[in-house]
Amino acid sequence: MGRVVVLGAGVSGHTAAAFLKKWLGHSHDVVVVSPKEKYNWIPSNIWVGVGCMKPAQVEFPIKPVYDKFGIEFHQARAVAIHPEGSADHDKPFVEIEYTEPSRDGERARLAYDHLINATGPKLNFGATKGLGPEGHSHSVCTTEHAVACRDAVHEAIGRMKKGERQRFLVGTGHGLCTCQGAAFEYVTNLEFVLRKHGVRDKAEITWLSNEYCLGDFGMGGIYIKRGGYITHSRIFTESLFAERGLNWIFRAHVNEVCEDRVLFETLDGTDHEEEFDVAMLLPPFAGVGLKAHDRKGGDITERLFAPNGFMKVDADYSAKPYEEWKASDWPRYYVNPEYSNLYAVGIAFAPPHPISQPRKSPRGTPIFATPPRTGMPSAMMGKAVASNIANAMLGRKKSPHAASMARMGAGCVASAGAGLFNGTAAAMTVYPVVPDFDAYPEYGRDLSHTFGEIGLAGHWVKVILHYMFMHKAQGKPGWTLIPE
Amino acid sequence: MAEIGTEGVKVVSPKFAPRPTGWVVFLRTFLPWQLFRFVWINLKMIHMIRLSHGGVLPGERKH
Repeated sequence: MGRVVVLGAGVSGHTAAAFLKKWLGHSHDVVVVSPKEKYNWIPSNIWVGVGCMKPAQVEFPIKPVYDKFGIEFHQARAVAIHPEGSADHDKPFVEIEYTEPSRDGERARLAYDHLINATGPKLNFGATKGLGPEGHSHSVCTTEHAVACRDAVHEAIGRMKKGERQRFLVGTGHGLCTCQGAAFEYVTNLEFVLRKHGVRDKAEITWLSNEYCLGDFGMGGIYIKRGGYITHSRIFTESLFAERGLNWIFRAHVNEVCEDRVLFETLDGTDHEEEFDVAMLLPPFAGVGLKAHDRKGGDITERLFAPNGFMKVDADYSAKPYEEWKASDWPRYYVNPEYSNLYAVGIAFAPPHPISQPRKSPRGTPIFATPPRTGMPSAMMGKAVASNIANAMLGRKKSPHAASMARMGAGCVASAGAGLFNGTAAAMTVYPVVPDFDAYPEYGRDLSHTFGEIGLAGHWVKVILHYMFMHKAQGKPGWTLIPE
Repeated sequence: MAEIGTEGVKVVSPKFAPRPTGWVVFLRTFLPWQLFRFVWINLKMIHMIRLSHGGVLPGERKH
């Protein structure tokens, strides 16, 4: 009997584990290691952060679901990978440290035949002084963060109802952040909620981002056909912001978040500051700090992981200028080049390079959006890797299932206000996620499959997707019919 | 801060940004039109998901 260990129970890890168990049945063991007790559908945290959803609507205890699937669950964090085993342990194993209250701090070794690293990111608030819930800004990266953010917004609404003016700052808290889409959703939902409370006239809302232009979203933006023109998503985003009365600052790297202001540098090398009463600034991501050791106990972390802590997979990591980037640089099977039974999916894999053009200020500060690897692509990677592992373990000779981000699209529905009849969302599809200028020389993407529009229908789609993906994650009847 | 529109400076009430016409804003929440768009968006997404699961671009051969 073989054993697959999955590190992480986020979108990619949970998808991989669920499909592995479905395909492997009782013939092999599937084990999930996650430091958290609950599964969190992170894309809906933005609604918790403005008070449109309750935490219970975006998360659920994960162990009962794994018990139902027949998956072994350890509430623990992974500490180190030993892909060659050790002197006293023949098989490869992963060292874990329990976070479950009854075993807190206890360590254990889990042997594996195949290991999927789907740990997601470390929320690197420490990269910017004063950033994050322990500093002076909020985030919506976890349910707890979103609840704290909601409380701060509600307090500000209370002050506005008493006649005070309030300044809101929303965006990214570092020059190398990703997930601008989530911050975009947050800022538009915040504006919507303030209108709903009748205090919009008392609020000044400012967007602050590391993007080169609005609508970059870490993908270099997208081009869409609209009104007889092919336009960049910058137009789309600027239009929405102008319509909603949102101010914006872009090409910014936040150096410090103080109690009532941020200090930031812009791409032209100049320093600025912006005052706020409530700030929601996303952190940059890094790897979770997993270590790796060879059989003799030697540290091989640098061989397995990129300097940012994400795991190397079958990508082309050779340093090359932006002009020479190729779609084929991106990984197809998410397998580590040194150990064929080691995989990394979702945010945990190291991208070969960004998608947006990298830029530096005259002082050498990198300021550009880093590539998104969340949501649909993340789940598709998890499923592809699960399929390849299941085929290998069941002795099936099938062509491996590829899931390159340069060969897959993404459907993105960015909420711009929650309401059954007055809500709106920007519904977008991008194909492929990573532009391929060999296949599509002018824009890098297939414009017949890349589109975007704002409307109530998008909001309905967003709500339906929320309930569909929560249903799927809980393994309820028909979960396999719901696409990634 | 005044509107300047150069890099790194806060942009306030921009006059250069395109804005939707009243008709476009009306259509965004006009139920019959949005029901039609709902169907259309779903079809576009389903098509894109099918393409993505192929693992290759249209016209490209699987390895």
